[in-house]
Parts: sequence; structure tokens; C-alpha cells
Amino acid sequence: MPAPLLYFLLFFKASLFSTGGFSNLPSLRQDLLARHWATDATFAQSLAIGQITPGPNGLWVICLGYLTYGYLGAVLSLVALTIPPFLVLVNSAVYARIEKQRWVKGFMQGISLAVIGILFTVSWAIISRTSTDWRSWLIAIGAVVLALNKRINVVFILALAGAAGFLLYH
Amino acid sequence: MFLIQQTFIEKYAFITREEFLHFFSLCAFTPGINIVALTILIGRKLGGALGILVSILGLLVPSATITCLCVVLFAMVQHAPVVQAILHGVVPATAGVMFVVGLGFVKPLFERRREEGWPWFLACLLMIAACALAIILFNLSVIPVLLAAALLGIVIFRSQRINPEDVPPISPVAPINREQGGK
Repeated sequence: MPAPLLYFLLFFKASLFSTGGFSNLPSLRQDLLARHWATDATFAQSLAIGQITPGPNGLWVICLGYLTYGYLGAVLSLVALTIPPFLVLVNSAVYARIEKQRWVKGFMQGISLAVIGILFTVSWAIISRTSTDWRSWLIAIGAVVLALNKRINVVFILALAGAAGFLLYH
Repeated sequence: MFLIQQTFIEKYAFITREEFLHFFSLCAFTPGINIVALTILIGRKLGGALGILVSILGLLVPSATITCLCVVLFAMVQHAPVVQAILHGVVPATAGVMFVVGLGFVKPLFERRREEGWPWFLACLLMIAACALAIILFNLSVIPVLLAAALLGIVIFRSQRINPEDVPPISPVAPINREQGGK
């Protein structure tokens, strides 16, 4: 059973070293998997629920919190998610002074690129550990094709995948 | 994201478009969910500390409550065979959608290639691939990869531009991506 403080700090750390709603995922995944508090399936389920519910997509972490640690987990994860964005107040104070520094641009560019690379590893982690047969690969590739078309809603894609799962596995 | 933009700029003219863009570029540098940071800045502009509190609660309470309800419902039914079969379908689709989210971040790089040139673009792709492989193959943890990439970024990308005033204040990665534009 997780210890509340450590649990909170892991979520806080992940959020503090991320930008956007998904880049905290790899850090959370490494930490929770190592402690056996979650599986890759837990992450995939949390992401799926987070995609179909309203509000910022970054709130998928609340699902992860609930599935791994009940209501306490949901609350702790929400608090851990909400604090780091307040650094924007520091940013807005500091930004004017450093924006012309040449290293700032390279630094941010490096981080941004790493975040993209890390995002791809998440996709890879979900598909390689939870999908072992041709049917799931088929669904994954179908989802990519549909998602490339920006007009198709994510909820619709996931619903279609759910229907496919029902037909193929039930 | 789209709705915030529409309501605060166009409908009520609470902030100007330029301010909104400036706010947004600050958020791109900020850890955590960008929309939360954006809400904090707009809240502060409109009502100080109280504005921040009210706007954050307005953003998070309804959506967090609904998300929580959904996951509680899910936890109740997740062991039913039908739900298991449906999940078998949804999980790989989630991986596919995440892949496209990643591609959405690459696209603006491809567009910037025209002004920055091929070597710049290839350097970006190499960095992305190196970070992904470092984690997949060597099981490195995320934080050292981020730090190494930031340092490498300073070395590689510092000398790209001669005139730093040309640099747009917005983060190099997609200012408006699928995640923020989605809901």
C-alpha cells in the first residue's frame, strides 16, 4: 500500500518536470510500476477515461490516482497537478529579464524535443506490453489512421475501438 | 482552449488577443497543464488573488468531479467479461491516439524547417529519436533524459540564430496542440 506523502511527491515530481497534460506520464509510469502500485493496463485505462471526460485532458491523472489509491489518490493527484502551474506567476516575473538570453532558447528547444520523444515511448509502452496479438495491433493502427483526421473526435475513435474489442474478444 | 479564447477575447473583451498570446507563451514554459496556468494568468488579470482562486475552482471542480465519477463507475464494472473485451479494444486505440498526439508536436517543427533549414530539422528529429530510444532501450529515467536534452539543446541550438531579437517568444513546440485544442 502506498504511503500518502511519497505517493503525493511522486505525482508532484512528475507534474513539476512536465509541460502539458501528458508529459508527466513516463515519469509516473516508471515510478508506479517500479513500486508495483500500477500496471501498464492501469495507465491505459486512465488515459482512455481521461480522454472521454470533459475538462483538461491532463486530468487523466485523477483516474490514475483513483485506480491506484482510491479517493485519497484522486484528491492527492489533483492537488499535485494543480500546484506546478502556479509557477507561471514566477515565469511571468522572470521572463522579461531572460527572454533575450541566447541560452534560453536552446534550453527550451532541448526540453521540448525530449518531451516529444518521451511521448512516443508512452505509446510504445502501452502497445508493446498490453497488446500481444494481431487484433490489438489492427485496432491501434486503425486508431492512428482515424486520429490523423482532426475532424474525427477522440471519443468516437475510442468508442469504435471499444465496439471492435467487444466483437473481437467477447 | 478554443472556448476560453472565444469567450474572453471575443465575447467579453476581458483581455486582448496580444495579451492572450503573451500569456500563452508564458504557459508553454510552465510545468504542468498549460490550461491551468493560462487560467491562473487570466484570473489574476481580472481579479487578483481572488480571481485566481475563483477561476481555478471554476476550471477544475466540475471537470475533476465528472472525471472522478466516471472512473468510480468504471472501477465498479471493470471485472465484467464484457467490459474486459471492450477494454481490450480501447487500450491499443489509446496507444494509437497517443502516437498521434506525439505526431502533432512534430508537425510545427516540420513547418519551421522552411525558415530554419534541413540541418536544424534533422537535428530535431535526431534529438527526439535519441530521447525515445534512451528510454525504451536503456530504461533510463525521464528526469536525466530531460536534463541531458536541455544541455544538448543549449549546445546545438544556441548558435542557430544570429539576431536573438528574431526569436518568437513562443515555445518551439506546438503552441496549440491537439490536447489543448481538443475540449
